Amino acid sequence: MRGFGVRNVNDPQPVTLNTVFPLASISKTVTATALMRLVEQGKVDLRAPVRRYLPDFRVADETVSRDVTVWHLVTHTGGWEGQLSATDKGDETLARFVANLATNMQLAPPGAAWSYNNAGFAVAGRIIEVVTGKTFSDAIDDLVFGPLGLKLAFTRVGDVVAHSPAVGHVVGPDGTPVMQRTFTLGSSPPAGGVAMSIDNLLEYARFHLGEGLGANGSRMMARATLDAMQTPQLRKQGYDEDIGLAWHLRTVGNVRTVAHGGTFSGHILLLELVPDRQFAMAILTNAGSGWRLIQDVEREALRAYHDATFSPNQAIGHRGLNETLPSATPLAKQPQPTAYVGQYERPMNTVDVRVENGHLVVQVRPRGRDADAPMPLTFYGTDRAIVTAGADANASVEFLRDGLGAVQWVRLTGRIARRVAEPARGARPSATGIAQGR
Amino acid sequence: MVFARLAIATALLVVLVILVLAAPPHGQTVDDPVFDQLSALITAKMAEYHVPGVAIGVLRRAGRRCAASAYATSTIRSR
Repeated sequence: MRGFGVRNVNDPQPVTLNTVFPLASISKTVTATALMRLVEQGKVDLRAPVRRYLPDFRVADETVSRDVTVWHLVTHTGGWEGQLSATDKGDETLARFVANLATNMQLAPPGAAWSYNNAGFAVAGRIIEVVTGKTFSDAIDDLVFGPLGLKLAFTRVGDVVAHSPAVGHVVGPDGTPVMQRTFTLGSSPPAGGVAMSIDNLLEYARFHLGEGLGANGSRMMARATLDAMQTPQLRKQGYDEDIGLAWHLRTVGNVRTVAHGGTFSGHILLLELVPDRQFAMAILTNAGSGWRLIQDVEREALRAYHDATFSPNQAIGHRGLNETLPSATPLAKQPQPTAYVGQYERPMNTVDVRVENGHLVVQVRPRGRDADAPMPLTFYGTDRAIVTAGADANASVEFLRDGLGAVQWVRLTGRIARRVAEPARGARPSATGIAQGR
Repeated sequence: MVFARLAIATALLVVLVILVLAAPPHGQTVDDPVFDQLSALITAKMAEYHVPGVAIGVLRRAGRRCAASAYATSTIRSR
């Protein structure tokens, strides 16, 4: 392990092995670990409806509200808008957040179109609270941090700031890093609110690679349960990889990786396991540009340690942090754009897909502010495109189809927007068409 | 017969001691040239992408960690 550089530029104390970093979305694996302990104890059933535990649970679509299961929450397949943040209300944060989902837009039937979903993990965290009768923070202390002996692992901002935290940064106008204010943790405690030192994070990784033993050597979880978390639950439609229970599963060369990234408030982070090699790597940065560093270092580490490199045109999926495609050779014959052209929507923006100067472009129009720059696309696979210029060059954009073969969604940065205009053929998907993976 | 058993037990003990000495205990750091190469890469990338701080940890065979140390970088200045 090593620490490089400084915790924050205003008070440039060195990063050490005890520096506490917000883990952002890596927290989702901690939430899933706690949840799976409750599954082992018979207190939660992954296939049970969410309403078994939260009788008042409601999103905009009543059928989904009734039928969605705990499994959907921890596989990012609830299908509703997921990019929502929970306002800090202390111990009531999750109860209030879940109560306010009643008008949350349904973008796809559960399981139909994989889409990164913070809100789903917040609901899972609320289930943990209700089942244990404790706050999420206390439950995580009892179910994960305590048994693993993690002393520099926290879910409360008040604890984090007392333990040498790294502070996030963005690149300022003159190109140098500027502190991101104010200091906060992730979008909600279960989706992004865990903070840890690199030392504790490696202990956590060791647990997920090991036999399920806690710090005192006693059985904490069955190895079979840890395996289940790392087993493909569903192909992330449009990507060449799967989702486990919270973990993102990607094969690079002959190596199967189990990973989660994190992005929040000027921090970009990655935890990656290679279970077959009993290998783990964590890279924690305190800059919004840190994903580029992580990408370069992760790919070099996989090559150097495991002789693992990506396949040509491998469609890598969103894992909680930005990545660019390792390679993308444009199709010799580009598809007709008519299948993709149209307007797509999310609660916070619309996404225009149109033809400009003979090329397909995608443009995000956030509600209440100017539109982002149009991004030119080139297809490198069926319904798989790459941005060819601009700040997002080499990012992937996927188009997803319904069961009848009609393009119904466009996905940017792992999040879908649903098509507003009627598709060229076929009917819009019904909310009752709930798909369940393994 | 007793002598043979004693010899076998002694040999096993010697093998066990060698194994214990060869494998660092839980959490101990070990030298790792690849990790050193990654460290050099990180230092370069911190400057290239303007990243003030990085922590990296590698766990190999779930029991061995790479050498640990802390660095400061001259590419970052206080504002």
